[in-house]
Amino acid sequence: MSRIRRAERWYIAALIGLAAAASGCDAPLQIFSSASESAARATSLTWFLIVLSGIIYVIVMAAMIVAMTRNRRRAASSVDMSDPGIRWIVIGGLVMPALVLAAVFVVSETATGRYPEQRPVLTLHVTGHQWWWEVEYDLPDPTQRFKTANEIHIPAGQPVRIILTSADVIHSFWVPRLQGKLDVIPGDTNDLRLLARAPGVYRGACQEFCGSQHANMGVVVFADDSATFSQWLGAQLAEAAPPTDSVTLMGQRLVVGGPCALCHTVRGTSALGQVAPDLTHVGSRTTIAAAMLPNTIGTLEAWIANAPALKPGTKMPTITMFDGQQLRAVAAYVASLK
Amino acid sequence: MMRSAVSFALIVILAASCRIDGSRGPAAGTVAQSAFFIGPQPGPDHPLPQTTNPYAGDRSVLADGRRLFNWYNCSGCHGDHGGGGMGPSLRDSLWFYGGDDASIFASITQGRQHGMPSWGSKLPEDQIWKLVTYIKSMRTPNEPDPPR
Repeated sequence: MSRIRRAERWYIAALIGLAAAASGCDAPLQIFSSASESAARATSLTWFLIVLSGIIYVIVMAAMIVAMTRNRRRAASSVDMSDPGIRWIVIGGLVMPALVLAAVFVVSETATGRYPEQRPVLTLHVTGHQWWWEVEYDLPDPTQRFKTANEIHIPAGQPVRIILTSADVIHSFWVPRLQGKLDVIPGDTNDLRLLARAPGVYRGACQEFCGSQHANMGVVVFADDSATFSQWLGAQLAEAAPPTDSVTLMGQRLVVGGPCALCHTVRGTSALGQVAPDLTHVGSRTTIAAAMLPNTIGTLEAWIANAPALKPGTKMPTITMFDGQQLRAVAAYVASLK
Repeated sequence: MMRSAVSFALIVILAASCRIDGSRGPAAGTVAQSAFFIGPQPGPDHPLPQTTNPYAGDRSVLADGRRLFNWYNCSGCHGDHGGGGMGPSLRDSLWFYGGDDASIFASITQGRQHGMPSWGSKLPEDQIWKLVTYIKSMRTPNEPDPPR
């Protein structure tokens, strides 16, 4: 193989590698584009470690290749400690790693050790369940507290405090563009401060293996400007929208009088189940099933009819007692809960 | 000698291919529909509910049954581990309406006098069978989360 063709292969390989790395920059769960100060510090720490490791790797590989190609005739059966080359081993093997590790330690501690100083404007309680996120807005006025699930709205540009706990096993709350992973532990709470710099939609996922549907336990954080956020808050505080036509009326009767009310809450009706996501405003969410499915009438009907077929292991059972018309009514009512 | 050893090995392999763990629930799509609807239903006849427990002897559903016992607040009337309270004890051997799987299923599904609600229109049938399996596991070594 000629030298020119070998160089050409390396060039192509480098281009492919670069393209692969660049394609990660617009994926929803990616760590190189940060939208908050703590995520920015984590990203710069990541780049620092990548570049430092790259430089050290190149130096070490170069030294190894030089050692392999030169002085090949000398036998290496014994090493003379008075050999002047020993100095390179001491410098390269002891002094350099100590300096590098000390530098990495200092940089890591300054990147991760700081805590936002501002007082949070909003407190949320996020409880991890298998396999969904329960979100309770803990506003100062007790009459203004409400629960929602899987989709969090926060005011952009203002610090928000999230108190994390779990109802069953250990999960981990991770919205990569806003903050690093923070474990969600049953019987204990973790305190998180989020500050999204700009309005946007930020996806997250559970990052501690928690069972068969750990991969489908997503969360979506919407950072809204203040007008949108107050509007959203006002809409969420209201009770469930009453049915408007005969189909949604039948749907409401089936939801309240049938199996749904045993587990779900629809505020404003007598459905007050505590163990499943709050459905009072589920129609206004963009996703269902912990950000696994888009919120459309088709996915709603599929989920209600046979959730275990879509998310095997989910605690929502297969509902066998609705016929086609009833299922359509229930899904229409649930979709109307905006 | 060689032939009997080979045939013995073949029999062992064939026996190992049978599933002995017993972990099978109703296959997807074959769950029988409950006959307990709200009001008269147009359309073709629905099959009667099964009278045999599809989870009999299946220990993997006991954890599910325990969870459902708490989720649906059976423990609210019957006590934390079914020991009794407002409702009778489910752990003892006295059963007013029968203590076999099908009778307990009927009691849960249809409701009973003096306050037992009818759950047939509320719970999917396989969840009621899971509760039955859990209740029957009480005071046996298989009981999940036994009282201490």
